[in-house]
Amino acid sequence: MPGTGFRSQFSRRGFVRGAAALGASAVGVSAFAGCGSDGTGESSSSDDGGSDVGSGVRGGELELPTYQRAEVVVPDLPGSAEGVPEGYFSYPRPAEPAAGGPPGSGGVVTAMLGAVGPVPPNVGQNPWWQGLNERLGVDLQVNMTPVADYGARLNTVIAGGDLPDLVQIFGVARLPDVMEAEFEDLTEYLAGDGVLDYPFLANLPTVGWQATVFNSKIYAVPPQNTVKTVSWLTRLDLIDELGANPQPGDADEFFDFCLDVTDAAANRYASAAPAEVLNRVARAMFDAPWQWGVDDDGAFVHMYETEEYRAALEYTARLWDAGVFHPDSFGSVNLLEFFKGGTTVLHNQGGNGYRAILDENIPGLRMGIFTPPMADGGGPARAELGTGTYRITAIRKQDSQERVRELLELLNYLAAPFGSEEYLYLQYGDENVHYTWDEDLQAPVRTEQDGELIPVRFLAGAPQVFFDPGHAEFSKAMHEHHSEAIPGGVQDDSARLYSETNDRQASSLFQPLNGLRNDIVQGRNTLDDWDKAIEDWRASGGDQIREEFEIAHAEFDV
Amino acid sequence: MAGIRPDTALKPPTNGRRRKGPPAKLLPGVSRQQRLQAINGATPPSLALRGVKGIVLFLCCAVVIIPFLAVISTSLADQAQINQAGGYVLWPDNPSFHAYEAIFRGGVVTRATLVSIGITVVGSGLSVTVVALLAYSLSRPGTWGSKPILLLVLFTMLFNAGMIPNYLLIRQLGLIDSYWALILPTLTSAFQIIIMRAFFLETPQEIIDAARIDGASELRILLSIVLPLSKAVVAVIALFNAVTYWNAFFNAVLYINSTEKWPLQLVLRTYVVDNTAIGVDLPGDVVPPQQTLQMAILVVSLIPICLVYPLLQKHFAKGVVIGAVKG
Amino acid sequence: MLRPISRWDRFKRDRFLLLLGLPGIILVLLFQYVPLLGNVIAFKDYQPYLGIMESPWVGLENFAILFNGDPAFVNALSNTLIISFVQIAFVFPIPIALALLMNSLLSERIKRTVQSILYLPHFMSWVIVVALFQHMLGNAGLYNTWARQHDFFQMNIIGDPDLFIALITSQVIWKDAGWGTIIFLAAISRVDLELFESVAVDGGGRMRQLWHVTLPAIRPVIILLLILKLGDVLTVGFEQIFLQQGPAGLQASEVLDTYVYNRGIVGGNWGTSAAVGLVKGLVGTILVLGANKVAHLFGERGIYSSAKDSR
Repeated sequence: MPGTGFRSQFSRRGFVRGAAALGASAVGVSAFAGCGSDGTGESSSSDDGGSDVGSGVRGGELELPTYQRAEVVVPDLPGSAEGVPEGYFSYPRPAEPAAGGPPGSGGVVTAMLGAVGPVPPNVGQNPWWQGLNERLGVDLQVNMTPVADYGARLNTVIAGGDLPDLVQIFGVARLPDVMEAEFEDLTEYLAGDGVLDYPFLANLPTVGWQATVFNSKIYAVPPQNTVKTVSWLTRLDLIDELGANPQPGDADEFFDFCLDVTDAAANRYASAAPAEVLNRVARAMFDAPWQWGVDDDGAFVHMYETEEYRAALEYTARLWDAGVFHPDSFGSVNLLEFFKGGTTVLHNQGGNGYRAILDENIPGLRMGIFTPPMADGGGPARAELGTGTYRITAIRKQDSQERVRELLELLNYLAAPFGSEEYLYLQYGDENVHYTWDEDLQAPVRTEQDGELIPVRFLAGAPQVFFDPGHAEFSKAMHEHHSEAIPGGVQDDSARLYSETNDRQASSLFQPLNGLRNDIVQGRNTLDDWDKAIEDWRASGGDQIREEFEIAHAEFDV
Repeated sequence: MAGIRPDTALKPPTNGRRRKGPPAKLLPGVSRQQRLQAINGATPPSLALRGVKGIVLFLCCAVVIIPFLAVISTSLADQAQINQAGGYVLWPDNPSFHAYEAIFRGGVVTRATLVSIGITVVGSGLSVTVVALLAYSLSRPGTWGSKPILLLVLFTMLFNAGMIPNYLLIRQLGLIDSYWALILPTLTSAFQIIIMRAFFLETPQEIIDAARIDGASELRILLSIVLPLSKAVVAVIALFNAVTYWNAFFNAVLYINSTEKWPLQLVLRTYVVDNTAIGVDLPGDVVPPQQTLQMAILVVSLIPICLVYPLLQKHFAKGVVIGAVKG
Repeated sequence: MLRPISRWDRFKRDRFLLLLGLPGIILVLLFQYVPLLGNVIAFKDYQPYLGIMESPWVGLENFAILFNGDPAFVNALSNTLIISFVQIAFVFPIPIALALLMNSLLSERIKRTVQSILYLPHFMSWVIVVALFQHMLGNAGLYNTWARQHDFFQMNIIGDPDLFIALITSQVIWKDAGWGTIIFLAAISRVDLELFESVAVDGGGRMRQLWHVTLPAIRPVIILLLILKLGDVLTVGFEQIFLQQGPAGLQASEVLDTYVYNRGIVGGNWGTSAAVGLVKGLVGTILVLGANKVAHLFGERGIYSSAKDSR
């Protein structure tokens, strides 16, 4: 496996993703400083966890669910179990049902999730929801909480013992213990070929399942996200107009590129996200690890400790000094609006978020995708990868195995793949109500009624695909970009390991470093301060975390 | 009316100034406003002073209005212009009410507005009542236990409970998913009790003593003497409460399961997702709502409060003439 | 002279008065004091899934964050105190001045209009206030863009650590000064007009009215609010500051709440949060009660008058 030091195996100790990082919203604070994705996902191991290999990898006592693609439709561009999304140029029509009948047998199923955007009307006034209940064969009661407040809500619900059946998990600390205390161990249902009873869950790329494992047991189902969490979009129209090189080949060329596209008088800058440029471009260019990296001897190192990162930091500070970043970058700026308006030329965008930009059809806007180069010009740099999971969904402890199976059937239904009739309903609704069919685009187009749809895909959902009606070329480019980046990407090698110190102290250890990092970029502190802060960090817990990761790693790397 | 018979034996002597006519004799015929104008007319401010005042207030207003203009304009602007401006626009080139239509589509916001109005009206009504009663009972000097009770109230301002103990309490009381969970916990506020008590203390003791001797009950004294003399503070506390209830969303996050019982601010909160708060934590295909929508929401949430304010405002300005009771 | 009345007699005498206060007292006890018991988790490693009873005791461990002598903590504490006192000195008087100014307006219509305008910003969330300020005053904001184009004086307000306190103070003023006038206007509205009339009759001008009538009349309220404000010295706008730490840098912008949040609470350390709350409450109590004593020494009523004095 390129880019990682070890195979996917699992130990008794188990593996926790950055629970501490996920706990960020637990205090009910809604907003985070910094720019771009500089918020919660920062404290060490974030959602950008490890990724890995193909199907049914065995390790320790646990077998991950077998990957078996659900053959519903044939993609125009192939996906992979490593997490490269499939691509489609038109929507398969007519969409055929792929699930056999309602998964439920009456009764009530409760669920809670963090909602993004407006909440739909309640089931009584919501024909789509009523239709969903009919399809599922249950009375699905979904409790939605604004995503910023979800952590607070989940913690109180746990404290009160009021968990619903299906629970989106984030914003909770000590996940391994919480999982064991409150949620169903799904290992016997889903491990290995067990998942084949739920074909649409088996259709989820293996990489995503790793985020659901705690204490060597599978505790959840992984709604899908892109494995390559962030792509760098560029304004090709502006770059061409300015005569800049759209794909710089080394650190100097990238520097020149930034200078070439920047014109403060015209209110145009290379980027407005210096911390992201540092962590996702400069870090890659200088080939530092992504969060924690491990070498062949099993020694762990955090990216912040490395000479490579130091070089990246110094490089980014020079970029800042050269004025290529929007001067208000560290304040609360609207990155997307900047990019669309041509204030910035580079834009870090999560997964498929580029679609919203395409959909706006902004006159003159032509987008490209930028791949950071190695600093010395040795080809493309290694991109950082996530777990390919958006949160995870666990099942509260149930009275009977039958009930657990029914709930898994229900999640299976929600994960119906792209192209199926179920997917069409879950994502688009009823034809001529929630969407209309556009003959030219060969795609469903949402109507204003689509506010009735509830985001059940946050509980369980099909693998992401590239499908951009009217922009097939960009789908192709994105697919190619992911296909190239994912095999050679770097993961956070700690993502599947558990360190108690990390769980408890990650934020207190990393927040000061993140702050100092921003100050160094802005020229307020020096690299000497950085060295000293790293010393402090090691002494006050960094070394402890390292040791715990190394032990955990050694335990199962046998 | 179950009035208490004031026991004169328990009263300290009041230097013989015992009865001075009916309580709170208000000057008939002449309003406070008229008297004020008469006083002001007698001592007109100099032209220079008026000029300076005018400029200061104008600047204050301008500094407030310009950003508000930006908010309103942005809510009406089209996306292209917002992209161009990088977030806010000062004047919409092609104004449209798209964002407002989007907000009110589906009836969720309309319903939530009604919920919020209900909670605000009931909540502030009850709150003013409870606060006034408690503040009054603490405002009579020498009342049994008044100092410890006041300290008890004061401490709740300084020490706060976490959200989990609060949740457990609401749960224990069986108030989960009930509107009362949004009303009862914030019914009393130490700050309001202390402020209102401070205003009540200003009520001339002579009037109250006189009423007591006339055999008026405590409730009667509060209703017909203290409150009328304290209309201003009652209006202020009512406004504070209205604003608190109107703006509250977090209790609803914790205590309300059904979205149809959500107050407006919680519904609106789902639209205003801070880009930077979530970052890569969002699944790739989710893009936060647009700037126009966020600004339209701000405007929508401001309107009702803007309507309530003038109704209460006249009470701050008017006040009451106390001067009638002189020895 | 009558003999002193006994407690029991006073209770009997005041029982109806107390009955009026009873609903409020019950609500305070139920909804404020019962949940306060939950603060026992300050001495525990509380985890919601374990519950308050089951979570293990950890002694004073949760308080360590406040007493570890970390230079960053000392810096955060000093920033907090500086910001608090700057705000008491510069923010607190402004609503009073504004209220007096508005009160002196002759035209009722203008008075109300001005009031209505100035109280509006109170209803904006900090997220939006911060964004608006940046849009107006940021380095690439409206002002500086205009200044750059016209070769005018440019101001780096948002990103300058030295101006951080000035920035957040002016934001607080912008947001809440108008709203803050309301209490003072209410207090002014009660001023006995006869006093004005007598000053006017004596030939006193408007300044004398202000100085000898209006200000003394609202002084108790001013002092009361000031004392209550002292209870909050360790709390300075968390959300407002947290949102602006990036451009200003940690050295200038880290305050107690952000320090504790960044270092302790983010990781789900509920106990730390409770512990910090207790310490802040304790400090606030000492300050409020102390200030109240001082006020009494100066013959002011403060929060609670020593009840018997005034009778």
